Amino acid sequence: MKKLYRRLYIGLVFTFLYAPIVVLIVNSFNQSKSRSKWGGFTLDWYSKLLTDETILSSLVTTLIVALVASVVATVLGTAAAIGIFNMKKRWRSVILNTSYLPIMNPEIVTGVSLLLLFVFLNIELGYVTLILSHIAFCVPYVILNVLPKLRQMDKHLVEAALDLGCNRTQAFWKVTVPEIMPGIVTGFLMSITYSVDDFVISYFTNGSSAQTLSITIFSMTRRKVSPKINALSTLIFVVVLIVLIVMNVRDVQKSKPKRSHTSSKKGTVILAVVLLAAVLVSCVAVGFMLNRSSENTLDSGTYSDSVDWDMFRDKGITLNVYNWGEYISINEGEDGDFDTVSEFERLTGINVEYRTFASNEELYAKMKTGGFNYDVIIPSDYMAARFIKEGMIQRLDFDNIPNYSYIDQKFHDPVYDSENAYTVPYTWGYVGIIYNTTMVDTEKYDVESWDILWNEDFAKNILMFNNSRDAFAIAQFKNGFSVNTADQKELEIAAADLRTQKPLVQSYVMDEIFDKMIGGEAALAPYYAGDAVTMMEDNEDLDFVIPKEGTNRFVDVMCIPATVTDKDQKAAAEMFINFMCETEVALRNIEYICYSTPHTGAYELLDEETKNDENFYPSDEKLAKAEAFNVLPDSATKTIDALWTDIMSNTGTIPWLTPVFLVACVGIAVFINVYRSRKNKRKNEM
Amino acid sequence: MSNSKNKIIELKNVSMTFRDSDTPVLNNISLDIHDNEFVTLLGPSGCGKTTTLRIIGGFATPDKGDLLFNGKRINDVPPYKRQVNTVFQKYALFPHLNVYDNVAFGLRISKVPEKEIKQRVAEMLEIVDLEGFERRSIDQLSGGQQQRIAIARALVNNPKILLLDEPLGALDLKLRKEMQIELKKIQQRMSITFVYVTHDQEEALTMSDTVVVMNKGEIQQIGTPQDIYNEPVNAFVADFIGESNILPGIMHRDYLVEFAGNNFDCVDGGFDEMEPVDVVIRPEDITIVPASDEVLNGVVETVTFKGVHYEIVVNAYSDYWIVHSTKSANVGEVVGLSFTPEDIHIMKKSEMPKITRYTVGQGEEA
Repeated sequence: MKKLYRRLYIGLVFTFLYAPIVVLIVNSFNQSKSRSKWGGFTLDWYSKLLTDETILSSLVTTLIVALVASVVATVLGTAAAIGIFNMKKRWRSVILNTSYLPIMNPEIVTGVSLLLLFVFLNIELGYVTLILSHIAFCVPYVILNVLPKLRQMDKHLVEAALDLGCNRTQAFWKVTVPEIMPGIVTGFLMSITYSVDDFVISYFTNGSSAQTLSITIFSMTRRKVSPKINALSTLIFVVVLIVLIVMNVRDVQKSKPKRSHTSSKKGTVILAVVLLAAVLVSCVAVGFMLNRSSENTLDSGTYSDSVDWDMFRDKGITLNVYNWGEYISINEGEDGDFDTVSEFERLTGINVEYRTFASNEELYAKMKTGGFNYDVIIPSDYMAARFIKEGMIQRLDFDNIPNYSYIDQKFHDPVYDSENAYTVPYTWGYVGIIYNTTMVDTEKYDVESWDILWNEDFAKNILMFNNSRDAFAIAQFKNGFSVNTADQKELEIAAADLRTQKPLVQSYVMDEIFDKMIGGEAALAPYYAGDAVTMMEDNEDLDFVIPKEGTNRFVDVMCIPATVTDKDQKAAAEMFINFMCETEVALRNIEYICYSTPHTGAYELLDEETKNDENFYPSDEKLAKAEAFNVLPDSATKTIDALWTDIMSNTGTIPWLTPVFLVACVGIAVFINVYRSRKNKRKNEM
Repeated sequence: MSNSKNKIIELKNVSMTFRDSDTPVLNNISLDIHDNEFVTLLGPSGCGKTTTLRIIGGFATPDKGDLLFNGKRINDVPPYKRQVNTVFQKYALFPHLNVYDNVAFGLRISKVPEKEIKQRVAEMLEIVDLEGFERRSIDQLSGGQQQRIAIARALVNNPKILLLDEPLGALDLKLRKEMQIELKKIQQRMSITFVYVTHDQEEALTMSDTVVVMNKGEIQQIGTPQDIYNEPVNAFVADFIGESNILPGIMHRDYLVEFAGNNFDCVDGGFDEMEPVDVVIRPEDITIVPASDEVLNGVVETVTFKGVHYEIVVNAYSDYWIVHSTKSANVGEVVGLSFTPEDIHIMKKSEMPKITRYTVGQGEEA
């Protein structure tokens, strides 16, 4: 009986540990984009992964950074450990504690301070800064691993080597290094692990030219995380698993007393084979990718001849383009796939560094800190308004963007860019209510009103936005207020509404909405139109409406940061924007992104079904009351944030808790150190 | 004695002080070591014997004085250029190499051809009686085997001198005895100089041609094991080499000494009249006899069986006497202690305070 319990317990522990990975692996073979519905077995995600240049290039970046940083950190850390080991006692402990500090330091502090340092020193953010910062946080781990090995080492070993005829250098390489090698290897592996793993520090120091895998994945989360990521994660997991198995087999063989010599050789051989296989697979993948990307280009005749596309050919111009994740057409290895970036490079001879971000706020933070030199950015309307207000983007020369004429008249002179001088619309969409027809009887309830999200009949079946601006907007429309109001009273009324709604809300979600709605776990939710259509494709019971009180219409726009001062560089950036407004390009992109296009030419070429889809292109009267977000005064933003925090927190925050907690942490750290040094003293006195 | 042979190592007025200490670890040491000699540096821990060895090995540099090798000063010659090899205290074998590679290490460094290496390693493993162990890893060897490999690794380089730093300290008693004989044999067979450091007087006496007794950074006595044992020059040596009863005495005149409240005839002379001296009597030189006026009388305090003999502590004239006797005695019994004039060794008072006094609780007290 006891045994059974024990097994049950172990089973539970392992389920807890591995269930997420199992789900991930299963989903990487799931035809359906939804994580909660099985759509049949497929290897599509793997083949799409292997042709996704953004992911692959960030994978390569990650690996290069990890390797270079780890090698350098290992050398530096080992040298440092040897230096520290041979120091006099007092200095040793000072230096040792100093070098451990970065480990104790929260990553975010390290990240921010590195960023500030690089900006202060005027080092352009990119590969160099990324590698430098990775080296910085890896070195302590190497020291941490090498130092104990040095301490364990019989100090007579070096003398023995000298005694047997080695000079100092030979003794170091022939005895010290092999002796501490396990520590060096562990330090190296830990460095690689931490480097590949790192998101926070890379996020601050990567700049516009080097994007690691973790950042790429993070930038995809604005929209649904692509199942390609499942495939990638599975591959990474499998590689790690194989490496672990190989190492364990090696260890086991090593610990067997006899034949140790041959078996460690065998282990090395296995390891080599695995690595070789990995290299081969990636070669095949790259080959496959290159092979594919040469196809599917458009005829030159497709492009308008109103500009000279060859103007900047062979001028060595590189454009840094910063866009949302999954927000541009790429080649996924299927026929007719169109790779926007490489097509632009082919057409114009301008080199493009394409990077992705996850939120407007992230983009703002990076623009504000400086050190990032983007040439084209694609923020949302209200963020563009803020950039204009703060002088962070510049007026466009529309002579260089003749394709602007294709932009639908109703997107001209928008509230966020009243002069119509800074932005070119890329995509647009709006917020509506997605609901499950089997759970909501449209005869009985009026779905076309925000009020339904407050109906107690749907208690615990309602999902809500998990971001303050979108959530407030719904309450504001419900009350007939403007979404751009700064009126304290109106904001408080909206907040009160959201507070009343809270008991009815099943959960506050962003990306999770896909699974919940497709899986039929909730009846109603406000969400973005394009994504709603994606959900409807996976679950026929879903429908989407525009509430009659009005809704938020959002536009993502292309802009050029004020930091682009070079005339040619700016003209090249404008050429890119103009290229994006080429009818064929706009069409391919909108087909890929599944949002609505402001491009009249592209709209005309859409298939009839999409064109007439009320969800993508609702009639003007339905959107008559739609409103775009504008930049809010600081006071209003602060009020909204405070009210939202208050709504979301159950108990209300205790203001003294944070400082008390911090003081307690410091106190404990001091106590431990004092205690330890006393103990050491006592030991030494004995 | 091998004084007639060549001096291979000479230490001349060598002094040394550690960086963070005031008291010198070696104080004006002079010592000659000869070809094919088995020299043991003997003394308690901290006496400077290991430092002396490290100076010869090149791991420590004296502050003052000279180190000569075959008459040439080698103070500043680094270890790897000296024709000296060392067997370290805990062997210091290279754990990442197997037996063969450990032994071959020095030869590879000096770029001996692989074929010759193979031959010399094989020979050496035969000498230390470990043929067939080439592929073993170090942690698969017992302490005694590791010891032999350490010796083989040092000897394979054909050094002129082999330095051994308490090489048998980690072995159990039986193995230690075996290795003592083994080492002596190897030394004779290879006919090279061994400089051996130990704190074990028995080991020193068993193996050495010459014993150098050291204390507090100074050499107390240099001599053959017999000299050292039978004619210790001072109370420290007497006490350190075997157990001794050391008593304060006064030399009345040549061949008459007063101690323990009585006058005794002795065979030593040459002291000042009424000079205070140390009187040393070996425990095994005392015989227990029935109490009488003819001898020194005392009360038996403890009796401990030691295997070959009994160790009997007798309180006589408010001093504790240790007696080794094959016959037991009863605690509390009054007995007589008998010894001949030849058993009484008279020594000049040591400059240093007395190292050892036996107490009833037996054992040593500083």
